[in-house]
Amino acid sequence: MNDLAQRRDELVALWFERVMASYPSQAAMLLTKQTDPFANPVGASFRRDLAILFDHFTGITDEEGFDRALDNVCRIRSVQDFAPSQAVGFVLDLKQVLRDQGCWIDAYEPQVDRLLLKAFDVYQQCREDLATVRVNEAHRRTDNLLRQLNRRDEVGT
Amino acid sequence: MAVKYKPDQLLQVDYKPPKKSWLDPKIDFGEKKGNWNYGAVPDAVTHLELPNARKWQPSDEDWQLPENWKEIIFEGLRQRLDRFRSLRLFMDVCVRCGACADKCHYFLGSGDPKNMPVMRAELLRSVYRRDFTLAGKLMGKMMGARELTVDVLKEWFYYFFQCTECRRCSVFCPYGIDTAEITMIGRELLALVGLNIDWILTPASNCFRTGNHLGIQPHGVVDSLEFAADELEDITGIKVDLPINRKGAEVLFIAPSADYFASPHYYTLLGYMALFHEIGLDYTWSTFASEGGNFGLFHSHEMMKRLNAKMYMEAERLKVKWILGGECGHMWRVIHQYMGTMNSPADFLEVPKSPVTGTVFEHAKSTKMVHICEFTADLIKNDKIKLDPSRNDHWKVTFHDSCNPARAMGLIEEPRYVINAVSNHFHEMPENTIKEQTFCCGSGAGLGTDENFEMRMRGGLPRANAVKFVNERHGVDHLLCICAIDKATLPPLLEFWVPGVEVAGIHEMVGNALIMKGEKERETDLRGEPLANLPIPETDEAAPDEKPVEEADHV
Repeated sequence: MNDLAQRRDELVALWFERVMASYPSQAAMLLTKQTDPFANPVGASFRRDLAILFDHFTGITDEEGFDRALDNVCRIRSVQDFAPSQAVGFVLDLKQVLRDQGCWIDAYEPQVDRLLLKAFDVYQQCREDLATVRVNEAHRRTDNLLRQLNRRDEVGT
Repeated sequence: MAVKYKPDQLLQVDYKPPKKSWLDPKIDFGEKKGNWNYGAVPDAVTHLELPNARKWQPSDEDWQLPENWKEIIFEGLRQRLDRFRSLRLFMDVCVRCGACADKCHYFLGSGDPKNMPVMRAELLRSVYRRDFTLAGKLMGKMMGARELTVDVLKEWFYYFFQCTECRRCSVFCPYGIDTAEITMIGRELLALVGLNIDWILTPASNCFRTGNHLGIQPHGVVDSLEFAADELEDITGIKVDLPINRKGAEVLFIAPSADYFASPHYYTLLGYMALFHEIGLDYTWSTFASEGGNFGLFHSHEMMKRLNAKMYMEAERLKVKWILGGECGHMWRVIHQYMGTMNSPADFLEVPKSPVTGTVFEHAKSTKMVHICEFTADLIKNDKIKLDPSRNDHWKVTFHDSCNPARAMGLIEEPRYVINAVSNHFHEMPENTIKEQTFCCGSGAGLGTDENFEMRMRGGLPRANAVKFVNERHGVDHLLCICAIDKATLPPLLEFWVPGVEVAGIHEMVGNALIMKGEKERETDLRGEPLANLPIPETDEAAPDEKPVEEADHV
């Protein structure tokens, strides 16, 4: 773990690069290089949030920050053009980075697995949120009409 | 802001070719559900006397195109190249500098390279190049030219209906190319062979038939307005006048039809009514010109002209002096950028002059139409209305510049002037997400459909991201806007990305703050939510230290 902590910035950068490679190359270039969080919300979020997830992996515990970071990444990928497996596949990119860099030990295996399963839970929650929001939008379109009808019934006109 | 490369970065050349050539047009509509809109129903097509009415969906293999569809498209493009000098220029002058590439909200949210404005335009340019330029005819693919095939046509449909015509990209183009106009031409060409989407054509058809997109008939409009007047009376104790189709009124007021009953638009309607009553405006509603919006803009120049004309015909019929327009978005683009060459001169109207302040709105000399924010800002500037901004203290607000008022008519300062007069807690989003650089809601130009929901969530991400920033930094809980499409589509967007932030119109806040002569003590705001016992937000001074932008949390 100490080794990972010492090489944190380098490993996070490689992880970020691999995740961004899941986008078409012409787009990945722009989404990777622009660092302004408002000009490039996807790239900026991944750059920041993957670092938070990595810190958690190395033993730095900030549960709230971890949950928020995982939600940010999964929420974005839940509405993009990915199959569910591709959407949460960014977790496995970390495993590959650690292997490529010679940092992998088998003791990391359960941690990556847990992160992957948690990412899937969050992704699924985002998809459920999406369904709820759609239903609420349908309600919103008719709420006021129903109110008008009910009021008319009340006054008997 | 363009990406700035360091010298060593410029030397890093990626030799890996993309997995698929950009010239390859194949789209699998069956696989991409949530990213496209349903085809127009035959009734709407027939009613508007448009070609190729039939039942079809983009997911069908056979789109039932007319036999000579290619000929129709080429002839349509040739006519438009002759008719619009701007189109020929936009086809020829792009140097692929990339300034627009990362400015589109759909690209930023999706990472799909064909959502880069330059690439979206290339879809049309590649066909133009092959069949309308010598270099393209001779050198083909080497010049980025390609043949028009059914797959190319399907790709046009997919991507030209993934552009909200918001024109953010055009702000950054050094040549002034208006990519939205390329989309508009692309959509016109598609319409020539019967490729329309229902969310555009049915509202346009409704508008043609009843005067508004929602198809509300005259008695329905009257019912809704009466209902609103009753509710306003419950809240303020004042029964406001409700002039409808009144000949000889000084002003014709036209709002987007969603204001009659959709939520949260409706509360803005209450705000208009309270304001007009308070200043004693001699005005009228119309059950025929009962729509400010113009979905014709999203279909074709001809359709836009047809729908725009009714407002002026009605103004002439009612013999009003000028027109006041409500919180609507694309209506103002039509008025400011197209109406002048479509249905003007409206010389039966007078140059708008506020009957309350005497201000003459010189800039509206041609169109005879004034935006409600300009009108209200002038009232406030001349101290003609009494406002108590503390009535809005239960809200911390930010302002989303709706694309068309901001970029198409330059309405930047007036809304802010009004907001500052009615709110004690107004916080701007970051500079590169507002004013001329505002990010689209992701659902404009006829794309705010349920079937297109995932695309909307992607496209709206840059806007939501900036809202999230002011929500976390300042506790902002309401996003103000002056566009009916925004009011319909921002609530779900924020519910997904920034739960807890709601959407409201500026004139809803005006209505809350307005001290009306003879009103009863207000117990609730216009939403019926109690004013008393609401938590009073902390003042700005007591807010936590502001973090620099880079460190702040965002999406």
